[in-house]
Amino acid sequence: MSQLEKVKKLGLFGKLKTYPFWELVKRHRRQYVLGLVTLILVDVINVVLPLLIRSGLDAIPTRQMNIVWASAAGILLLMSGQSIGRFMWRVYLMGASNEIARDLRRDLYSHLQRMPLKYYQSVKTGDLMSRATNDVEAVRMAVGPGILVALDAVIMFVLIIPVMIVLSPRLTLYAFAFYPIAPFLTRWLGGKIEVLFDTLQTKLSSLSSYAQESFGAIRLIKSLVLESTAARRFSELSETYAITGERLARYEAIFSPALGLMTNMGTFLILLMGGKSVVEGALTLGTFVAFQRFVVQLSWPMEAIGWATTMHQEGKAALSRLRSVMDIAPVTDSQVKRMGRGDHDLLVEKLKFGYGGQFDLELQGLRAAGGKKIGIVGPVGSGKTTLFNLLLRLYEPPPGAVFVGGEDVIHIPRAELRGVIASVEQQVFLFSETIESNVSMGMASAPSTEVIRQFIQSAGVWDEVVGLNDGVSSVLGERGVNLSGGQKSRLALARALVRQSPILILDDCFSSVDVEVERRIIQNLFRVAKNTTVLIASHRLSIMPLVDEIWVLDNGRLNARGTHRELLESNSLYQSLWHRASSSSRWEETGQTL
Amino acid sequence: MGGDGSDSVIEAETHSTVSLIRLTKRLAPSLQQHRWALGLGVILILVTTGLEILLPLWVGYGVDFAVQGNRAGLVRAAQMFLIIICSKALLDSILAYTIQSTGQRLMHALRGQVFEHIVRLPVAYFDKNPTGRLLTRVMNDIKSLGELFTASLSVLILDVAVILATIVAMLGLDVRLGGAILITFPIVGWVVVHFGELLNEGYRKVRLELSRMNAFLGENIAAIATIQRLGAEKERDERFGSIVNLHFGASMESLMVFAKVQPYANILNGVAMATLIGLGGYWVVHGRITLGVVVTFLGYIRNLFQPVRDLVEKYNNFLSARVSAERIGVILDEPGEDYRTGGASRDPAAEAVSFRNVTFTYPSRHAPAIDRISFSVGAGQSVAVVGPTGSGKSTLVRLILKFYEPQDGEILFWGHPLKDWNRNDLRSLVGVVHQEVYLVEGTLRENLCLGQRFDDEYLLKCARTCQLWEFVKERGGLEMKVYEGGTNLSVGERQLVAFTRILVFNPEVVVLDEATASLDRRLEGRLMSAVAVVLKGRTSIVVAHRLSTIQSCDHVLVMDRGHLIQAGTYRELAARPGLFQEYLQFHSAEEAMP
Repeated sequence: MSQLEKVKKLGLFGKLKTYPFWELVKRHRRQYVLGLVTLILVDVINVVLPLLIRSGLDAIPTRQMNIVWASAAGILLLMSGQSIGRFMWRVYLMGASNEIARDLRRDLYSHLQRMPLKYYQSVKTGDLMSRATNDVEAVRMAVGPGILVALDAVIMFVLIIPVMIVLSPRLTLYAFAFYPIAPFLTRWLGGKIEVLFDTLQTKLSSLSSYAQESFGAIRLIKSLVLESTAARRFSELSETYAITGERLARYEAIFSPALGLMTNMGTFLILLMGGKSVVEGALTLGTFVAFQRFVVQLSWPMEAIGWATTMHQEGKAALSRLRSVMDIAPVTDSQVKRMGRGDHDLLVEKLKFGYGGQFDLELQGLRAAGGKKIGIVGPVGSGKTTLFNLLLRLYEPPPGAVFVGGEDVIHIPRAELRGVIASVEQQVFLFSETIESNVSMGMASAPSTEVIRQFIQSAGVWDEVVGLNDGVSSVLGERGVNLSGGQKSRLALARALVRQSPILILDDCFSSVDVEVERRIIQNLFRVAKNTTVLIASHRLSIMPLVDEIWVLDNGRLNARGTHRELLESNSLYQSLWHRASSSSRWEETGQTL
Repeated sequence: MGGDGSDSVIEAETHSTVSLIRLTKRLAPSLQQHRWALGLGVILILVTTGLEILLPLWVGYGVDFAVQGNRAGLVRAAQMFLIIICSKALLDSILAYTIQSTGQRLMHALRGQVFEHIVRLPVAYFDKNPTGRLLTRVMNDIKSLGELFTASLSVLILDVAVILATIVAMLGLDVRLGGAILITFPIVGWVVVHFGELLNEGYRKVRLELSRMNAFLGENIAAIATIQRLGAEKERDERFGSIVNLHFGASMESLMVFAKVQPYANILNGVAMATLIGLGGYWVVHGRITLGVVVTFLGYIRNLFQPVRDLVEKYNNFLSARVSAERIGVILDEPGEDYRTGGASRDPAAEAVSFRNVTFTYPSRHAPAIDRISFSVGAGQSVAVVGPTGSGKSTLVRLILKFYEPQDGEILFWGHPLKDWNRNDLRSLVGVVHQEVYLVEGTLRENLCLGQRFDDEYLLKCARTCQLWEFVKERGGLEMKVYEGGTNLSVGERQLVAFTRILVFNPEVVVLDEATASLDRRLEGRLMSAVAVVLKGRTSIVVAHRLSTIQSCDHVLVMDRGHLIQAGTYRELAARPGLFQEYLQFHSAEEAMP
């Protein structure tokens, strides 16, 4: 192999590697190769067909009917074979692109689930959804129809041009006489179309967000009697959108007919010059007709190249958006250790945690021995939820800060840690699935219905569940059963209890039930979960007399610890919290919408 | 449950062609307005079709002249060809622009109509339908109807016209050859309809699975903290995997349907070509037809078979656009609020607002939001309404504004039952300040006048009285630019704008609905004095407000769970044990908090 060949080969290979979708395509190379092979066969037949027409037509003046019949039979045979090929490349190439889309979606979601919780504070759900749907779809278009159209166009040109040159170099020249216009046309119109298309998208999104805001603020609009004003404003925005659309249409309306004219001009020159050659006897009629068909066949790849470029570009942009999500490191469990001791005591030792240089939370020497019930109180923003998130490693604590069963939690695999610590969050979230699957969600082995029933009973919501049409099989959510806030939080408690974890965290989850009900739930809980260590935060302090010890947090620091009685006597913060809470928290202003 | 997921809840698809016809009737005025453009479109389609037929004919003539050695005839044929292709390019261009721009105009009209109809729907409709769904109607459904018109319907009509004209031309040129070639053509019609319908069904499945996928993502991305807490990542991966697989399966099914169209079209095309070359060649040899006819027929066969794949797709688009038409029709059929009837006017001697035994239950709930409430507000009086969250305070305001009709009892406004009042008259007489302030993009003046006219001096006076002026005088005064949603103003400044608006419009009754619940600390003093200015001497209803404002009101109503449980002056209620005392206690404790 010569040096030059080596470089060339490397060059081509290198090019392939810079193809943005190479990694995706590589995994399905069998399908792509098969698709490419059938595509080439189909296109070869495309080139042979005009030649068969040529031989048939050229046999007519000499009255060689056997050649005419043979050509006709050949056409039928080849086109039948071609039809199988056309079916196959579609299934291979498009099938592969569908598989790529499926795998991308699965990988993306799986990756998203393993992102640190902090990540979700900086992104919108809608944006992530758009990654998984629109962007994946754009990539699919690029690696499916995009690749197909580009390959088809290239193969057609590569196959047809040599055949044309062999048949008649002169006519080939005529056929492509007007092609040099194409790049100018593309650059001039293509550029304008691109700019206007972007403008159109901007107008569309401002129209859309105006509609969304108006629907969201409909009560305000109605109370100010602004329906007509809003409709007028919408109509204005809609009109600027329509006008941009019309301007875009002006250029688009030139583009495609101009390309068509370009091809037809080739046909015209062939008709004129080729016809003259036929008259002079320099060209057979068959060749002349075959030429015309070649020119017409090339009109499709001409149009397709622009289309393929757009799909490629949009797919590339979508892929880089997907990459920017996939490149963020997920949480990992590198050190896999089992918990050393048999007990599950919880210890907070020299914990300093915060963002941006300052420590929002600074605690030390807090211990919750097995079976103890600990209450955690403090004003809003005192660090209760942050502490819980650190215990669960939803936020990553520094080393040497939080221990469970004598082991630093950062050495305990998350799955195992969250098996040991069950929790109920402040904003209870239930899924629009059955009650049963909500309660047993995430458990390694699904508990029996009997066990589920038992814990729903312990959480004090069984009667309500039985009252539903399908009992534990009832589907929750918009199209299923809607539960009250109190019912939701009790189901979430059942979901935590059914895990039978040695440690249970309740993060102020009963704010939507009455004080009395909360007290009953907690009393019952302490009775059935005697050996469970429970950490419970509540901004209503009515349950605090029930716990063994209370930690009072303020501004991320421990203000005091002790029993309810001790604190009520000695701690001013606890006293004021107690007074405020006992005047019923139902008074808090929530600022609901009109 | 899972707020974000609710917008993407799966909707059932219904469709019938009737819906398209009904929608066309609704569009009649706009169609009428664009009748010239539409007429031009029809004429252009007919002319273009004619040119499509002439093109192969002249190529055929050219061939015959060439074979005969008639140079002049050949040149004439080539000239005709040139004229035809140039006019075709021109007409194609005009046609494309006409269709696109008319499509944009029609969609603009329909979009405006749908938007205006939606904002005039009763508030209860918005309770039932998430914003996302309404947005889909106004944006996506109208867009797909637009595409139906511009991309599918016009192409469909043009293709069908060309096919019909080609059939006529073939039979006209040579009945026997034409008949022989066309004998298999009815199968093409079957292919288009059969596969078009299969494809429509397939795409419907794909859309359904896609919306399932979206619903899952919306819910589960929002619930990420819960999932991580429960250690349910693996299980969720599997569940999403199975949803993605269903979507993949549906996509593959549609792909197979589409792929199967190819072999049919290709084989039928092959049969037609073989018939032409074989039989045509035979007849040329026997002198029954000329070679030119065979060449012309080559072009005609192309006309017949080239659009088949396109037709299947467009026919499917046409079928699926019925879904959008149906959905838009359903919204337009929804009865809007009645803005016409009711001509009551203010009886100055009567009480401003009076509730007589009013009971109201929200459509989606069982328990009444307010239960047998009676009270009245005299002219010039101020009444404060306090009560815990969910006690029914805001419901009172919504009923006064006629957002909902009570099931029982009667509400009188200035001596007349609400049903005798025209909605717009009523709402114009009530000035509501809410926690959120509705601001439109435009100048401050536009935001103060809301479409009405006031002179600058008056506006300035109001702005000064509310102490808004000093915040805006440096920023352009009345000409100050306000961004969409008022994002360039602070929360407190927006509230000052709302208070100024009250002064400008000087309504008979002022309602403050938790107007300063979210306080801008920097502006607290100013806001409170603006409140005092606004309330001074006006009939007012103040919901859940600061203590100082409540203190200044003539009467206090205390609500709890839909019942009016205490009523009297501030002093009276403060002296009596009960819910109001609890409220005072809570607020003084709140203020004592560190």
